[in-house]
Amino acid sequence: MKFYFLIYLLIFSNLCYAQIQVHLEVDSDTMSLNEVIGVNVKIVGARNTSTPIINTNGNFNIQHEGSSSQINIINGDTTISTSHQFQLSPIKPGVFTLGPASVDIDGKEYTSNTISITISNAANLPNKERNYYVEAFLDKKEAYLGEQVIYTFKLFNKVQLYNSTLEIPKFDSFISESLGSEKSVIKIINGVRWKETEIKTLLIPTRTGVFEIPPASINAKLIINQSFFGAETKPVRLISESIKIRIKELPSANKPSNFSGLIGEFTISASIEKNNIKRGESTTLTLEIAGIGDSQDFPEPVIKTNDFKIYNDKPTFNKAVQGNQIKSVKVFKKAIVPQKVGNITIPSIEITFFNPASGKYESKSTQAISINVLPSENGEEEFKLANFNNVTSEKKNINLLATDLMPIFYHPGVLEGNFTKKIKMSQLYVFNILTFILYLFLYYQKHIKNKLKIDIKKLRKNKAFGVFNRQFKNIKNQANFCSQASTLLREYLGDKLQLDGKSITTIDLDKIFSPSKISKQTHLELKNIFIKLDNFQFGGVTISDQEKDDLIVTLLKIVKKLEREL
Amino acid sequence: MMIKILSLYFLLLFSFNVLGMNEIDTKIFIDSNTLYDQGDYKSALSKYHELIDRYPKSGELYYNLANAYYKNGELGKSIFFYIKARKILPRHGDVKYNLEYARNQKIDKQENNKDLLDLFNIPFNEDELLILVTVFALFFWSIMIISLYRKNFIIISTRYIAIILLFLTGTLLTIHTFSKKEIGVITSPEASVFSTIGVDSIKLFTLHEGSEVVVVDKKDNWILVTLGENRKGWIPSDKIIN
Repeated sequence: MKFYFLIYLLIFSNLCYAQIQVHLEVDSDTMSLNEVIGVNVKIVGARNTSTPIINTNGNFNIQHEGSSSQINIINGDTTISTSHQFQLSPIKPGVFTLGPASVDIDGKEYTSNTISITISNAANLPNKERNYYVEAFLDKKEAYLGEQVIYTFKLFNKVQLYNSTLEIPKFDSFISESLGSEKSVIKIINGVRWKETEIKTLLIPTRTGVFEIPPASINAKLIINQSFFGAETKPVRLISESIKIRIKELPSANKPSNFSGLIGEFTISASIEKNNIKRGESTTLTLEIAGIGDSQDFPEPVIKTNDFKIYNDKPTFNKAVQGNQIKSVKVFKKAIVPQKVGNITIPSIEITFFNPASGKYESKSTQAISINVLPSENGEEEFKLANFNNVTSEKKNINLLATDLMPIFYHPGVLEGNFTKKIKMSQLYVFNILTFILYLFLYYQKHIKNKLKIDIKKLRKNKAFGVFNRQFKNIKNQANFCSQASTLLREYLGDKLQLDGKSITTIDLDKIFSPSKISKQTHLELKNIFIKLDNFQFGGVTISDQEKDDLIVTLLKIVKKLEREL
Repeated sequence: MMIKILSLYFLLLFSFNVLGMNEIDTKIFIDSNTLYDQGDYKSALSKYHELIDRYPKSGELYYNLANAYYKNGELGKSIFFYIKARKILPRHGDVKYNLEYARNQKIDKQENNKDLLDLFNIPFNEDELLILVTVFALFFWSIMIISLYRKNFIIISTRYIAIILLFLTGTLLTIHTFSKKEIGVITSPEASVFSTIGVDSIKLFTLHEGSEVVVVDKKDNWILVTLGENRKGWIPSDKIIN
């Protein structure tokens, strides 16, 4: 019974495909900017369809919520339908057309009706009279290029919201850095318990001008009715105001010549590994630039002096967010190798930065550092980068004091190049082509030879009758007619069968001609003529003219028969 | 007769054309090395450059040039010429060491550009691969000729080996040729990368000397470069060597 019912359903479901209709329905055709409404696309006559595409013309955000299928049998009429639910949230106020919705079923596209929806601005209730609201603001209205600005988004709610998803705007023209996850606090205002959730983002402007940061929004669900069977929810959308900010150029007045683009508030410190060293040894100078702001791009400080050689190490950089600010530390390490004996001084090193707090360019310097350079123990004047310990009976680890590049190539032979440069590629190409041509030539030669072998056999077979006919005319009046006719017939057979004709005997005929090759009659006639010719040739019987004429006719007849059958 | 023809054939095949090395060039090379040792890197550089115009396939020259650039304080150019030297001398330890040494001095943290040969650790340069392909092709056709007259297990097996070798080296060379990238290295201490070369150009990011980029396009005095991962922009051509 169930089987028949299923068959019935399948037949009817297929029939119903022939009457597919798509309906677009909305919960309400008027809504405010901070509302979310449900949209339903009902496809009648099809089950388990793909998700329909609703044309929003860029005026709405739309999100697919799910789908369901139904089969209704009423008074023997079967209706199959599929419903797809969406959530619709507006982007801007105005009157807009939603739809049509389109769905692809079995390669055919079905479209729905369209709906006009009016979007009004969000209701301007005072915040305290609402159950929930959002705010977004910057910590300053104008900032210098590269100055740190804090963007704060806050959600206030006195009723519970569920499944909240936050959409932070795109901060074009800014480098953004999250200042941690959201923080929530409970505040009692006028005896009402408010929950305040805050998310902060640090922005660093990369361009000058007036910029508008677009609104941020939260999509959430609000419980409107709680019962034993579950909760009835309503989607809500909260949108903040857009924010304007002016980004100023750094002041050009009093801009120091050595300003490298460092913005923030920094300090510089210098320290030396050893103050007393021997000539030929090296000591490490460490320069640390630390402070509020991003110092990643700060270039390697240059120390101009002839008293020592400097070998820069790769700088290290660390950046961290502390107290809603980016703080960074960049450390430069330099190997200092004195070039003379005596007191040498590492001069003071100055950095310049723009401090947005004071609105001025500021400088910070290190103290000059003095190094006492003693003569080397062995009095060597040559400067050495690396000094290895002498070999002793007690093996010691090799201490690498410094590193440098591997030495250059000195041998002029390197100009000649290696093996690859000595080979002329054109020569290799030519030999490759020659080998290929040689192969083709040899292949062709072998192929032709084989072909010729086959062709000679074929030619011999084809020309056998002609040869026989031509020579037979010449022997008719000759005295040794029987001997020559016998030879001709044998040669004819030899040519036809690719054999040595002269050696064919009467006995061979049975072996050569299997029943399938020629007819029995022809076989018999051929055998008789062989016997006759042998008798005349070797039996001492003299052939009369009449017998000769009969033999000629029979011979020609048999050869023609053979020509047809072989 | 056949032996004579074959002998002549192989004699011609393996008679390499030894490149004539000019005495003047040898002197220039020795002089430039002496200048390098004396610390006169600028003069050494100009002489190495003079030689490179005539010996563009000498990896050792590029290496010496890169060393001179490094000693002269031009990190970007030194990295660029070490990369060139490494492409020609992929098995040379000194070249690899100096390239890594120079790369360690650069400020920007980045993945080094690796071509196919580096990626699969193939110890051959492009020329060597080309020679291998040609030699294997020659080997293959020779085996094919022999197999016209003799067919036994050894000949048939050798023929398959020749096909496999030819196919492998040929595939490597083809992929390498088509996946080749033009590498550029930042030569100025700091170089800004802009979104466009027009008036609406915005500064996308800053690169420092020694940073390696892939050159995508060139227009007037600008070069379009990419670092991968959607980091792409225009850089003034005087701040980069390529």
